[in-house]
Amino acid sequence: MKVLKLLILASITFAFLLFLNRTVVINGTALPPFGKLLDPVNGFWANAEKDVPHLKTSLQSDFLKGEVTVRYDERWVPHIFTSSASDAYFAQGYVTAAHRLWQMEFQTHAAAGRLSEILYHTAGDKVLKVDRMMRRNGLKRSAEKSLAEFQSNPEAKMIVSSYTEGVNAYIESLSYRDYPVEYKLLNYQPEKWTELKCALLLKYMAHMLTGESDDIALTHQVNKYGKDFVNLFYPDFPVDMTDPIVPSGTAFEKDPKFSPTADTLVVDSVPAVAVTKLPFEKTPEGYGSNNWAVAGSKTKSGSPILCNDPHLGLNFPSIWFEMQITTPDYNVYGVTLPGAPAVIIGFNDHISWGVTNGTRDVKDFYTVKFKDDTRAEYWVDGNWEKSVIQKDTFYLRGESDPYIDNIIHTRFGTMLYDEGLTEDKTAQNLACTWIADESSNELFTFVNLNKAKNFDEYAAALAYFNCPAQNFVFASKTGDVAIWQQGGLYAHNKEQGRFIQDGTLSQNIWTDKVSPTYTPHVKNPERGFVSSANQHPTDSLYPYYYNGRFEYYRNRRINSELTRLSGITPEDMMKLQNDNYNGIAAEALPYMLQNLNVDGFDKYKDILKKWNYFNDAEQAGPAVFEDWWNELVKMMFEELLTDNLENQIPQQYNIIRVMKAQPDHFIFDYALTNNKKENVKDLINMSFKSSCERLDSFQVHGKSLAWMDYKATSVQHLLFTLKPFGRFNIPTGGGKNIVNATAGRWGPSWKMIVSLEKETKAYGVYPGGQSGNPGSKFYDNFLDQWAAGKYYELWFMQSELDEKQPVLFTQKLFK
Amino acid sequence: MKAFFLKILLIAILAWGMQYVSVWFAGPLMALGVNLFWKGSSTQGFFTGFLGLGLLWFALSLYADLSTGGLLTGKMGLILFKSDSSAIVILITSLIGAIAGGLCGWLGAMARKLKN
Repeated sequence: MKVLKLLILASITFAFLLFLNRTVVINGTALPPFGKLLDPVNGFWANAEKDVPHLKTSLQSDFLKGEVTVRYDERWVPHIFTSSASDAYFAQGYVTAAHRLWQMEFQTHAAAGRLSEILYHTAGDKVLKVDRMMRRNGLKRSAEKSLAEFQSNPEAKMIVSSYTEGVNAYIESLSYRDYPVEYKLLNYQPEKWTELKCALLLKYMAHMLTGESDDIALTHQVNKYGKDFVNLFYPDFPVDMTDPIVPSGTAFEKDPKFSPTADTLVVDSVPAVAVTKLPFEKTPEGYGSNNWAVAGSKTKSGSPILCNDPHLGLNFPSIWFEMQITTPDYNVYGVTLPGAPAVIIGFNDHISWGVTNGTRDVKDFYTVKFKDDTRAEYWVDGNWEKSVIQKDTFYLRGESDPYIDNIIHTRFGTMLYDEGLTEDKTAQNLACTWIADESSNELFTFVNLNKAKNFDEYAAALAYFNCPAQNFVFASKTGDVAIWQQGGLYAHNKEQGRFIQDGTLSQNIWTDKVSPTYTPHVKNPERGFVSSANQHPTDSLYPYYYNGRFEYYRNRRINSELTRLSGITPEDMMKLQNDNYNGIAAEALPYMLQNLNVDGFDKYKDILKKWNYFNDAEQAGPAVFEDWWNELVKMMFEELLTDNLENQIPQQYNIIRVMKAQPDHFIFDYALTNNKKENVKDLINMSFKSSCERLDSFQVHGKSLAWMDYKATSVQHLLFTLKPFGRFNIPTGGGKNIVNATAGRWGPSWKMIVSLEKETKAYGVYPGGQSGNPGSKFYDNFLDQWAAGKYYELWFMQSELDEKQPVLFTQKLFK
Repeated sequence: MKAFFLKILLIAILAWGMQYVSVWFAGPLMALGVNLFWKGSSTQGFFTGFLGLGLLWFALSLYADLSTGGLLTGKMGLILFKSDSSAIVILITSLIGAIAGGLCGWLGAMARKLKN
């Protein structure tokens, strides 16, 4: 009897301890292991920080060649002093991992299509689908190709292996108590870092920047509405060409390898196909950026000033990690991407550089004709060819058996949307080719920019860059300014890649790329500055065909301000980076108000009439305009938005142009009123009414019309369900297509201004903090400064004993 | 009576040490161990474990919260318990330690009785 009581108590006790020690999934929610997690010695309590991050003061490693000193300043930016490149990359890996390990692993798992290994037990097939699409898009495959490229080059091999050693030196020092809190919440542990992960991180950025292609949507529209419609609303070059990166009228040298293709239309028929709306989240439009460099002739100091603010998702941990790295050969400062070696945007003792997205279309789609449902063969030029079927394995957390996917490769690319991912037969037969799915060494671009001393070395560094093309701005202390859109540019025929192509003709397969010397660029132009904001790189005089989604507003505002200003100071540049001028409103609103004849709603009419077209945080004008304009655009293109097909609407610049020039265009007829024919002026009034009604109810629910409240900018954790790790309702102005491009969920992820005087003066800020630990003061301490449009003075230490600013902590790494 | 308080102290100290060098449940297991080798009733077993672990986890989590300004406590409280009150997080932490310790202590005392 006593034995029985004992056994029962023992069972209850051990069951209780077991429950507290593991993740338990109930109805799709994962309960964390409460005993493990709440243990005040080892659980999340250990992640709470007193004043500074918990770092070791020293580390010994056989890998190191000499001694490394790391000085952390007041903002916890590490300044790393080394005596060799391999030690520098080791230190970069070690220090970055010490602050952002969870983010590095999570992002590379996402790129590798391995999120199911972490989240399948709660997210199920949803996360498996995301993983399958990542693999089909070729991130893992192309990362493997890049890695092979790195390992065949002694310098690249040294770089990735040193970085990897550094990261692993950190991981090996960890026990459960030291794990970042996300590991404890989700109850898993970090795995070893590999060189492949460095390549994966770079491909992940390529994926983020590649965005969406319009090929499928435009194919549908050209088949339904005709070529004139597509040329009117999606012209490759607008009639009133607006401010390309390389000034209009510039003559371009032709690559002797090719004859010009911009005028040679080879295929003039488009496959008559349409695809049902694809069930995947699109990369948001607007991942663009601004950069510019002003020559000494226009600055107060006489030295060039370079500025860059890349626009990316607003997340914690921050996309960027600030650092300075010094070796006997170079001294570089800037922001890095946790998981990849080198400084990505920044400056050294001689030059400065920055990046904006080229936004050229770098993906092409083809309709493939398979022999039968096995898809083992497909038709090319009159013959059946064999497809390559690759088995890909996905491990699922909580399941003993992995998922095996069959990915089909053809000469026209990978089949993206097989059964199980979409129902649509047309989509299932679409192959996709992506420029990033090639062997490439983008790493060398950044490694060599870190070391570059002049224009020629900058140009040589850029030649390694492949996908997606970026606009690299440049300035040197010797007075040069330049900008170059560098990246793989295939010599397409006219309109090749604009629509889906016929995947039974090998003539449609990509041939070769324009040599890097012939991609669009300009150096020391007469106007005294260079700039880019994702607009067209050239006017229509460029000899090779390209297409894409380009910016029409930020670029014009930046250029008109830079033209107007003289005696420019860094403070002028800070003002420009934070400029809230709304060009779309300036172009559209007067026309909208002119044609408004709705009675009532005087409050909103007043607000709009008094508004000065600046999207400042406290103003109501931006909210009223934004709501009305979005409503108007929705009504204008109701047909395209509701036909259940994969579709896109034109860019706002083209919408405004056509709205004013052809208010009776058939597309503006509101589809939902069958016996009435509307034109734009009717829609202007209908949309005003429904927008005002919505704004009324918006305010009834306690929200204000202040732009910052309407926009509701937030910075959220990568695991967005962990809302308490995010910051919401950040008081800032700006918006899409505005120089201060701060929208609801993305914005300037780094703002940098570098004055290349004899003693470099640099300023920067980003919306987050150096530490990835939500329990640290350094998790989000920069955010308020960023929101207020303010900057920090960057400390470009000239020696490890430099005392200009306080040093909070020192680390020594030795052999 | 004195034995009761001494047991609690011993359990707390051993638990702290064991949790520091190994895993979280090594702490509650100390309540089991102490009551296995030190004479006492089942009730004493439960309460020495309950108070030993409960007070230890309470003191440690309170210190962690106060010395760090409660920054992480509030966020974790919202994520786990939909409340940013440090008090709730510390209370639940203490309770979990206490119940684990109590069950282990009771088990230890009972096992001892059976042994003899």
